[in-house]
Amino acid sequence: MPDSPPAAEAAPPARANIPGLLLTLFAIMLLLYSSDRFLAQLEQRELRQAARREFQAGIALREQGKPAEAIDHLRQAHTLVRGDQEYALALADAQIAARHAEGARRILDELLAAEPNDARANLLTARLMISEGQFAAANSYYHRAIYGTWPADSQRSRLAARLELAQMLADHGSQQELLSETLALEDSAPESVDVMKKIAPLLLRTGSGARAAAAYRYLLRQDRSSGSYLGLGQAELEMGDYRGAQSAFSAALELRPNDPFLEGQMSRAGRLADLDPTPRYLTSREKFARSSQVLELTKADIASCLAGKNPSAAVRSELTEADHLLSKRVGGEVTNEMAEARLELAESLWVTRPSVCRAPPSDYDPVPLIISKLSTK
Amino acid sequence: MRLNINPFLRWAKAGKWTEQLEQPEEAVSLLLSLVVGALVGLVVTGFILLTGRLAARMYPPGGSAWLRVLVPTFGSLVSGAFIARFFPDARGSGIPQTKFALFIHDGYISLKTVIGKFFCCTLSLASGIALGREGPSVQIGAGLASVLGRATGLRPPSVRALIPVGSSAALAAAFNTPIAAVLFSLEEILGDLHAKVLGTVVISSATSWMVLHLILGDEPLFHVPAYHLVNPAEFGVYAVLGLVGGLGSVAFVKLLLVIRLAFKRLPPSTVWLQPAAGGLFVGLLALAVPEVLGVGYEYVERVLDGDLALQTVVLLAVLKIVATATCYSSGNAGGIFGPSLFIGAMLGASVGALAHMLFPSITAEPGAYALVGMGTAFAGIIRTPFTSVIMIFELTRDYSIIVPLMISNMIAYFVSQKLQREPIYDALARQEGVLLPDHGGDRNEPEYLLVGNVMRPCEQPFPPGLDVDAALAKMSELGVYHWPVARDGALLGLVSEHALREVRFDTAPAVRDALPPDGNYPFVHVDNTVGHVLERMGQEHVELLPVVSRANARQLLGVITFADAVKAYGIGKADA
Repeated sequence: MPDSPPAAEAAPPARANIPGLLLTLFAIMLLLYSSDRFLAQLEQRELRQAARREFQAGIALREQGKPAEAIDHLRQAHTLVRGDQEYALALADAQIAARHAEGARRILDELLAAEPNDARANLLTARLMISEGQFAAANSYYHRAIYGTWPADSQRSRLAARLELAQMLADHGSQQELLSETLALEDSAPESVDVMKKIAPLLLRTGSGARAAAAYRYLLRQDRSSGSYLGLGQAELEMGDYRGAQSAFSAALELRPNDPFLEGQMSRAGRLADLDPTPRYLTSREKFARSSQVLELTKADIASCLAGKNPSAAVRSELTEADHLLSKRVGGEVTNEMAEARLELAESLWVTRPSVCRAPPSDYDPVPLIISKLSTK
Repeated sequence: MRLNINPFLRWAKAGKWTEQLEQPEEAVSLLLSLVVGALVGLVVTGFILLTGRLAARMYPPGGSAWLRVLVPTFGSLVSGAFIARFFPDARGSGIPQTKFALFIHDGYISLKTVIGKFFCCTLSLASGIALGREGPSVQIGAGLASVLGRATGLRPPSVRALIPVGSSAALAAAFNTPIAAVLFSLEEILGDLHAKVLGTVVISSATSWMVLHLILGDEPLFHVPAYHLVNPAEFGVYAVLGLVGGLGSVAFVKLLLVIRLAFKRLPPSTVWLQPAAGGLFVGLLALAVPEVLGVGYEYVERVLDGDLALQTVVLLAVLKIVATATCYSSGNAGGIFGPSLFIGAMLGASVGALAHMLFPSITAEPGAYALVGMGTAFAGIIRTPFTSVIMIFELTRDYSIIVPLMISNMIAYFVSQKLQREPIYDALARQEGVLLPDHGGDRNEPEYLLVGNVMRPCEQPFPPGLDVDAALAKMSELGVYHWPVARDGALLGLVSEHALREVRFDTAPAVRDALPPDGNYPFVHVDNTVGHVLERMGQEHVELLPVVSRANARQLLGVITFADAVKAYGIGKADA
C-alpha cells in the first residue's frame, strides 16, 4: 500500500512555528547549496582530468598516424568538456585525417557559428574543403584563418596558414594566386631561415626565378647547403643563366658528391650553356654555330614524332626549309642575321610541336628552355 | 495637503481586511512555491551530482569488464534490501507514487520516503541500473513540497496543490527544461492543463531551474546539432518514425507490464532479492554491450552527432527496451523517462539511417531523426504528447523542429493509445491495486456534485453467510434493489434482489450464492461526479453503487443511490 498518512497526520494541522521553520529551512538550504557547490566543483575537476587523459591518448595516437583510433579518445574528451575548444579542434582534425568529413563539418560549423573569426576553426575548415576537392572554398577559409583571431602567437600562426595556403595553391591553384600569396609571405615573413626554406621553392614554382635566386642566395649566406645550391641552380636555369646554374650545381655536388640527380642537373646546365645562342659575349660565328645546332635539335625532335606520318603542308614546308638552311654551305663572313633566321625557324617549328608530337619533351631536353628563353628576349 | 483616510476607514469598517486574512493559505502557498522551487532545485541538483560522482567511483577508468556485472548486481541488491526493509514507497519510478499521493492521500508523502528515494536511487542509478533519475526526482520534489506544506500547517487541499508544484520544480532541475516541467506536471501528474495551480507551478519550475543554473552553469542536458529540414518529403519519413516509435513504445510498455506482473507473482519474501535479478540481468547484457548500463545519455549524445552505425543503434534500442523493462519490473528504484529518450533516440537514428541510405539527397543525417525520435518515444511511452514536443523544442531551441516533432509524436501517441489502451502509470498503479482517476473526466463539475459530498455511509453491508430471506427483508425495509456484501470490512460484491429471489429456494441459501460468479462488481470513487454515477447505473442496470477507495477497491466507503444522485441536482423530495 503506497505512502498513506498516519492517523496523527490526518488530524487537522496544528499551528506551525513559522519563524523556526524558516530558520531551519534557511540552514538546510545553505547546507545543500554548499554541498552542491562542492559536488559541482568535484565533478568539474574530475571531468576535466578524465577529458585531459582522453585528449592526451588521442593526440598520441594522432601523432602516430592513427587518426581513426584517435577519434574515440578525442570525442570522449570533447563530450566530457564541451567548452574546451582545443578538444573540439583536435577531434575535427582527427576526423578530417580519417576522412570522417561529416563529423568534422558538424564540429567546425558549431565552432564557426559561435565565432566566425575563429582562425583555427577556419584553418581546419579549409583543410576539410581540400579533402573534399573544394579548392576555391578552401582558399576563402584560408584567408579567414589568416585574418582571423588566433589564441596565441598569431604572427607565426598566420604565417603557417599562409604557407599552407601557398602550398595548396602550388598544387591546385593558379600561378597568379600562388605568386600573390608567395609575395605576401615574403613580405610578412621575418628573417627566418626555416621560413625562407619554404618560401624559396614556392617562388621557384611561380616562375619567379630572380626572386627565388635571391631567396636561395639569402639561405646560402646563412647556411651553405646542397639543397640551397640545388634551388639556386634551378632558379638560375629558370632565369636562363645556364653558366650560373652549372656553377651552382657544381657547388652542390661538392657538398653531396656522386649524387646522380645533381650530376644530371649539372650536365643539363652545361649542355644548355653550350647551346645557348643568346649571350652577348659570343662571336657571330659562335652564335651561328649554336643557332644551327638549336635548329638541328628542333628539327630532329619534330622529325622523330613524324616517323611514318604525313605532316601538314606548313610543317612539311618548314622542315624542308630547315633542311635547306642546315645543308647550305656557309662561306665567307657569318652574320648575326643568319643566326637569327635559323633561330626564328627553330621557334616556328617548335610552335608546331604540340600538333605533331603527343609526348611532351623530356625534362633533360635543352631545346624547350632555349626556345623559351628566345621567346622572352 | 490633507490626507483623506475615509475610504480606508469605510473599507476597514466593512470588514474587507478580515476577508483577505481569511485566505492566508493562498499567500502561504504562493510563497511556498518559491521555497519549494529553491529547495527542490538544490536537492535534485545534489541528487544528479551525487549519482554521477558515485558512478564515476564505481566504474573507474580501465576497470575490469566484470565490474559491469558485479556493480549493478551488488548495487541493486543493497538498494533492494533497503527498499524492502525501510522504504517500500521508494520502489519504482516515483510518478505513480506521486499520483497516489495527489489523488488518494491528500498530498501526503512522508519525509522517510523522500530520504529513501534519494539514497536508494543514488545507489541503484550509480551502479548502472538501466533506469533514469527524472521519475525519482519528481517523487522527491513532490515529497519535499508535501513535507513543507504540512510543516507550515496547510490544510490537506493546499498540501495536495503543492504536489504538482514540487513535481515541476524537480523535473525542471532534472531535465533542464522548465516549460516542459510545467506542462508535465499539468498534463501527466494533474491530468488537467487548465489547473488552478498553474501560477505556483510556473514559479517553482522557474526557481528550481535558476538554482540548477546557479550551480551547474548553462550546460544543456544534451548538446544537440543544429536541426534542419532538408526536403518537405521528409515529413513522410517523420510519419514513419512516428509509427515505429509508437510500436516501439507499445512493445516496451507491454513487456514491462508483463515482467512486472511475473515478479509480483513471486512470493513476498523474495521482494528484497528481486531488484538484484534486474541488476544481474543488465550486468550480463553490459558484459557484451556496455552501452545498456545506466541511463545512457552519453550515447544519446553520440547518436545525435550521428556517430553510431545502423546495426548498433538497432541493437541498442532492442537491448535498452529489454534491460529497462527488466530493471524496472524487478522493483529497482529508478524512472523510465531517461530510458524513453534513449530508446527514442535509437529508434529515430535507425529510421533516419535507413532513410538516409535510401534517399540521401532528400533526407537529413540520422542525428536529426534521433532528436525527433526522443520526443516520439516519450509521447508513446509516457503519453504526454504536448510535453514531449515542448521538451524537445526546449532542448534544441530550434523552431523548425516543431512540425516534424508534432507529426511523429501524434502518430506515436495515436498508435500507442490504440494498441495499449491504459497508459503505463495507470496500468502500473492498477497492478498495485490502485485505481487512478481518468484524466478524461469532467473536472469542471462543482464540488457539490462529487460523489464524496452526495454518498451515504453503509454501516451494515450484508455478510456473505446471511440468510437470503433476511437479506430480502432488509432490502425491502431500506427500499433498495441492490446492496453491498462484505466480509470483515472487505467488499465482496453487490447483490441484487432479483438474484436473491432466484436462489431463495435452494437448500440453505445464503447471500454469497447470489453474488456474480466472476467476482466483478460495479463501483465508483469519492472523486467521481454524480453524472458519472448516473452513467454507471445506466450501464450496469442498478439503482445503487458502492463507493470504494482508489487505493483499494475492496475498501467500502459508502453507497450512493439513484435518489441521492438525482437529489444532488436539486430534483426530487428532500430527505425526511
